[in-house]
Amino acid sequence: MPLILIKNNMKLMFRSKAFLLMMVVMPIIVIALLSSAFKDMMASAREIDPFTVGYRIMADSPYQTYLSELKKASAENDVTLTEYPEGEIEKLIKNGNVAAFVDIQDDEYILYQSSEKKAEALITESIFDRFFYQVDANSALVKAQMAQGIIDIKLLEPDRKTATREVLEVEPMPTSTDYYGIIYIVFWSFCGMMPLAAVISSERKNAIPQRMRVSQMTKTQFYLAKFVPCFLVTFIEMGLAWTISALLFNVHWGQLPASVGIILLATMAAAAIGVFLYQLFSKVVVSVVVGFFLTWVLGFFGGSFDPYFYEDFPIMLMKASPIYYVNRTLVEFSTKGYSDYTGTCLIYLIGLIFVFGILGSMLMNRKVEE
Amino acid sequence: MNGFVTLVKTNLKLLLRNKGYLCLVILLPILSAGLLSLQLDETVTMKDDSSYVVQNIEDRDDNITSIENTKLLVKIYDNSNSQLSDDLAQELAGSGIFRIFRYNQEVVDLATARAASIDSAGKSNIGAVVYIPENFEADILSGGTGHLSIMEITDDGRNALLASQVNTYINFMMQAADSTNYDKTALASLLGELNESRLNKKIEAVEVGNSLTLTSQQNHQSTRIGYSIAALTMGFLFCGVFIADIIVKEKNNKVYNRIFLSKASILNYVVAKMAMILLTVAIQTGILALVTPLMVSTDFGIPFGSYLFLVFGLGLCISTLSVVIGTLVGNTMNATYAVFAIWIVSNIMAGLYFPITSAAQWWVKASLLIPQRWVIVASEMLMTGETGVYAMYGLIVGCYLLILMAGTSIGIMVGKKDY
Repeated sequence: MPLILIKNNMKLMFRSKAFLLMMVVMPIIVIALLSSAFKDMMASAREIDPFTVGYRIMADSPYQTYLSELKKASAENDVTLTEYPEGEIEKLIKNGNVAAFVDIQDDEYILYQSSEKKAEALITESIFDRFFYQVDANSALVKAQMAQGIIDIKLLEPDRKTATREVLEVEPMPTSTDYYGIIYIVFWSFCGMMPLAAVISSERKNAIPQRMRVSQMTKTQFYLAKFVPCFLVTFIEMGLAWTISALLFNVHWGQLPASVGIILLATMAAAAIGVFLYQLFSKVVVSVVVGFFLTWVLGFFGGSFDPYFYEDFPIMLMKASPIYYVNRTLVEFSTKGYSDYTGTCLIYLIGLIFVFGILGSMLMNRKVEE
Repeated sequence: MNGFVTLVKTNLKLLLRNKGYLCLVILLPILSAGLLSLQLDETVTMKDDSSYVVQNIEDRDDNITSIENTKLLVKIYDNSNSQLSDDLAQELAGSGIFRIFRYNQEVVDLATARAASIDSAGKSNIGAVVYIPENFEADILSGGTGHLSIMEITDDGRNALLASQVNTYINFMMQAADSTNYDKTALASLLGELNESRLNKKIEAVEVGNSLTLTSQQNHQSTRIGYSIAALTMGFLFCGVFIADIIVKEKNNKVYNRIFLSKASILNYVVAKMAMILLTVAIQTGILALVTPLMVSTDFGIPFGSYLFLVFGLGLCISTLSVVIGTLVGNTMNATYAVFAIWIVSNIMAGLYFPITSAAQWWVKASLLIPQRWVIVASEMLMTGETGVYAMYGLIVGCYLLILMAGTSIGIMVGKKDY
């Protein structure tokens, strides 16, 4: 193994402060952003704190008599009803005195909903809807039974259970913090081809490949001297981002040794693709831009931005992305402790390492021989 | 404008000689148009949560997602397909907190519905499934309970509300059937009477802050624009890096001194660079205009010309921004890392992949600093028929350019001091 060259190249890569910053700080920022954005969407249960609803009712309203029942029904749902006979309703909502407001009039009731508190508004709507339904349904029943000449009037029994309720045993879903905490370590691992740019530019500038021809190093050793430091540097940087994000946001990783192994393979696959791209294009910047775009496209279809389980894209496209398999395997490790995708994920990653490893070293040999 | 034309000519030559630049200018608009064509409409995406209607689904396996998750999404398997089952679905949809998706194309047995619900759990946001058996109406009309099943997928507090609403409606149907001697016609007229006599509900939305209400189709179109902008932004950013690369090389090769010793002023120099940006963006927008109609349907919900106008404005902002970054960083490779990081984070912040209206307020406000956000805002305003959108967008682009040009000038002056 060309240890001296590996060490030297690693030094060169670690010298790029901009890259170091990007690889460690960026995943943490993105994890923080996305886990907060998707918190509600991915939450299995919505948690809503108790809130207050204002109401106004006319003194002679027939619904006055049912107010105590309405208050009881509201309290059961952690909602406090407070009467505001006067005052501008919109102001009460904008000032945050009430989350929603209900104005009960003769022929209608008006529900004022705050655009900031939609969930609270919907619960209020549901409580009032059910309440008025019961009142109106009872009067319809009374009317119908009286028309039939029935004396023993039967009213609604709203608490009677008629439908069966069953909780399905479904695949556990990750929280948004766990999902994005894992997904962005994977995404940035695939950006692992980038640190090599520093080495390649320096080599091309100083005509190192030509000089290598007179050294005793074999072509394979010359390839490994790029491949090994490339994935090692990325893996170390990812390890750092991983530890910080896990400690900061309490991200739950399942099957830690297996997860570490898969991330290591992902960085190796990215490094193999990276070395290949650097050999394919003569301009370093072009290789970097193509690499970035490729990583983005793979992440785009693989669930790095929109969660993969919503299947927003044709499944064939999603399954073409290696990031999809890595994401899925690691997320399922976290939620279930195992994943049926582990095998495919490993085969895909090892396949990428081999295919791009061979292609990369072939191109490199050609360049050295030129 | 002494030397302006010469400066532009030299810059253009330098840029066109660069294969990387040519690649980006030509290929990225084509690639992003290609990316758009891959976007299919297979998912029922409910990004607006305001509907009170029962939405029928054609395909039993349609995935249903909602970014806001304010309403509990409920799927109904209506095997009865009767007036009573329709009444139940309408009542649930009208109650406000549920979004109802009904499948009534064919009879599905309970075991299949259960298995499908378990399978859909990861792929959609359906919170609960209501299974209405085939003999539902007949059972109610013969004194039974209807034998409905509620299958809960998520562990959500709103499931309790669903169960109590369903129980209330069925209870009424049972009592009403009893009160009308189990006569189908009399029961139907009683249900009709209840609907007539019910106290009307009116919803007044109190806007706290600004928000536009889009239909689900418009939301879908807005998402499509977001995806296309995400890919295009990359082309604009990296082309800017190539322009900045020339500036950095000019600095390193002491071309600055030679230029400023001539009659060309710093203004000439900055304007020449701006002309390069303008040309680059114009070429990219032109290619996009040619390629998009060939590769994808251009149904963005706004006129294609307006889409191009928005893209052009965005291109000017983004390319100028990356020129400023490239000039200040002074190293092409580091500038590439920086713009990649900016690209990834700004796309997320601007809400190009998903709507951010339900995100925290600080996020919504901060997103207004990002040019991509304004493309989304402007296109949504155009969709909803707001006026003054072009003037607003033009003004925003103008402001960005002014600030960024001032930044570039400072960058150049800092560079000039070195000599």
